[in-house]
Amino acid sequence: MAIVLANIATLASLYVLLGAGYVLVYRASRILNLAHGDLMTLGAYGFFTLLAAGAGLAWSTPSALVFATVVGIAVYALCMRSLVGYPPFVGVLATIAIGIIVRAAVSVIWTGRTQHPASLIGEAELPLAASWGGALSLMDAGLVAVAIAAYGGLAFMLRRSKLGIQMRAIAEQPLLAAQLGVRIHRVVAVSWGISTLLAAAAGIFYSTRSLLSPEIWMVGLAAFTAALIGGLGSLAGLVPGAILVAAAEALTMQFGDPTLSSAVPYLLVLVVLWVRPWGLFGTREEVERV
Amino acid sequence: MTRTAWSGRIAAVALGVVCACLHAQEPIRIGVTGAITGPVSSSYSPQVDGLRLYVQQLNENGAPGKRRIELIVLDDQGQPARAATNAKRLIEDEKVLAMQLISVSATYAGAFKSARDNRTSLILSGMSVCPSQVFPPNTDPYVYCAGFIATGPEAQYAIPFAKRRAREAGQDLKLGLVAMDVPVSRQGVDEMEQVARAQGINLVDKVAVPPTATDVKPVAARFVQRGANWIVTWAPISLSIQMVKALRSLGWDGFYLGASSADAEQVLQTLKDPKFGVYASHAFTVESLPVFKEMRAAAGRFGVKERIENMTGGWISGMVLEAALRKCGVGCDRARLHEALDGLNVDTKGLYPTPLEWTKNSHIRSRLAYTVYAWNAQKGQVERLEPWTPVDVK
Repeated sequence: MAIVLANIATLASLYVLLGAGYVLVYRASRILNLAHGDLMTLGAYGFFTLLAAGAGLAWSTPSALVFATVVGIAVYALCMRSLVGYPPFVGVLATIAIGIIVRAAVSVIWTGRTQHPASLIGEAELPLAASWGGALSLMDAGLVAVAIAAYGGLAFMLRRSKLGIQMRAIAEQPLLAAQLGVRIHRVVAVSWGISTLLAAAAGIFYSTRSLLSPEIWMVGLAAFTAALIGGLGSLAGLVPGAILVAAAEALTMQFGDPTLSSAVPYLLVLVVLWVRPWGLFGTREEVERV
Repeated sequence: MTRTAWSGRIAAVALGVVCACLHAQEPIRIGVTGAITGPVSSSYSPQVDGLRLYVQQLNENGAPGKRRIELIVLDDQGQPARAATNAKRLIEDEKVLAMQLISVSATYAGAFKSARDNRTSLILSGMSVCPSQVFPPNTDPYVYCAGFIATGPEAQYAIPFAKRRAREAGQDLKLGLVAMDVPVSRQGVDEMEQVARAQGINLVDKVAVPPTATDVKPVAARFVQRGANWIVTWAPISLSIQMVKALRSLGWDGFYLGASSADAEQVLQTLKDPKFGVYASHAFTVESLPVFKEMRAAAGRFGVKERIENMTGGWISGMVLEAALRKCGVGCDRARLHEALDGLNVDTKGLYPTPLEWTKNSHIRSRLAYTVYAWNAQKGQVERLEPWTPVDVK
């Protein structure tokens, strides 16, 4: 039982970290960022490159996160900003194009070869079966802790900080927010930066626990289903969405036919959207906008 | 005879000489379609580099018939439609003498059809899995396999290896089988299951993991809970890496036996797990064969940065190509090359422990030999766990 819960908690944490990025960008700009998985891959490669260059874990991690934040802001400033005012689907198409470009760039720069960041941080010495009856590794525990901290921090920021209130204002009434002096582009750019930072954090954990290759962008799609089930604009819905998707995947793998595990989250999306097209915690208004 | 008639004869002879010279200088065109980019490229692209390197060296040292070999390399990204188009273009437009295919099994059908339709020999190389069409008795006349991998013989070797090792260690073998959820991997594991059942082995579980799975830890937990002490797989090494890491993080102490790959030696060196072995039918560089020195020297001379162990499959396919062209002789054409391939015998200088032999009825190495490589923690290097074990192709 401990193993089952640990697996669900770990996977759900990964989806929360990644899914929060989808929610944040959607809240601020009403755009589904389908390049999110690719930006995660880019952040993970940034981390790996620094590690391989001998920067050490203490330097590589914050540097990769800063790099990712800058990339996120740059993506908005250089590509997405000029699309403001166009229908949302134009922005979505643009993120698909950005994703393809990032994927190609990653393949060209780092080749398709599988990399192992864990081996560069003394994987053999890590007590990987440290706690919870061997069910939760040290890396897993770190992932859960970071996801909780990031989620808590994000929720606090959106509710209490000036930036968070501005983000919410832009999401609700962009025109009114602009008239009240909110610098819309700056706020949305910051939300892209934070979103990409979270993606990079997820990428660092994923690549360290598993492996790193240009194909890990697909993890982003699984996290997208979690955000979709919770309600795309709802941070509160993300956690139940992530837990549902993670549980469906992990339980199918462990007790059912693993072949179905990748399909089950999408089946869940269909069922949830059939019952509540705006997601578990979304609002009708968002569906109309989409 | 008039002066004009003499002039005409001289001109005709001169033209003939010029044509003959031009033919001798005309390069031999060999087509290659391979997964150079795309999701699976890490397994195939180094093999293309190995073939290129071999041909570069061959051209420098003097190619067969003193004709340069020109490789026309096209990228199929591991996609069936691209591979089919590439094969058609290489065979029909570029008029290549023969083709090499270094890509995933999903790309085979279209390429095989082009080869058959145009009576052009097609050689599968490197990590390309040898398909049923190269096995006797119903051999496809135009498809040959010089690659590392074949599902049936690997099952015949890997499962008895696990049984033998478990017995030597005084263990009661509880076997788990893992496939990636793609047809060729499932076939490989199904064949392993047949061998295991025939040998009365206790098979605790068999699973196929989707290539898109985010986390394989639940699968690992499944094996741990069912008490597997050996897990054998016929799947890409990326899945083995994920499985080994997940199993170890759950404190599993059993032996994981995976399939080899172009970069298997590098993977073993990176993971440094003494209980993670890979079965292979080709030699790793730890064997210190002179041919590895030759490869290293060639890579240095031509500025190739790829690790030589990753290029072994491509180098072998270069050896096959050279042997076939030498046997085919001057004026080699598609038909004569096809004849030459049907009786080819290539000594791969130890890269394959047994000679590569093809006959009219068998286009796969008729006698394969396998071993298992794993990390030796005491010596701090990869090592072969047992002598090469011959496996007859059935």
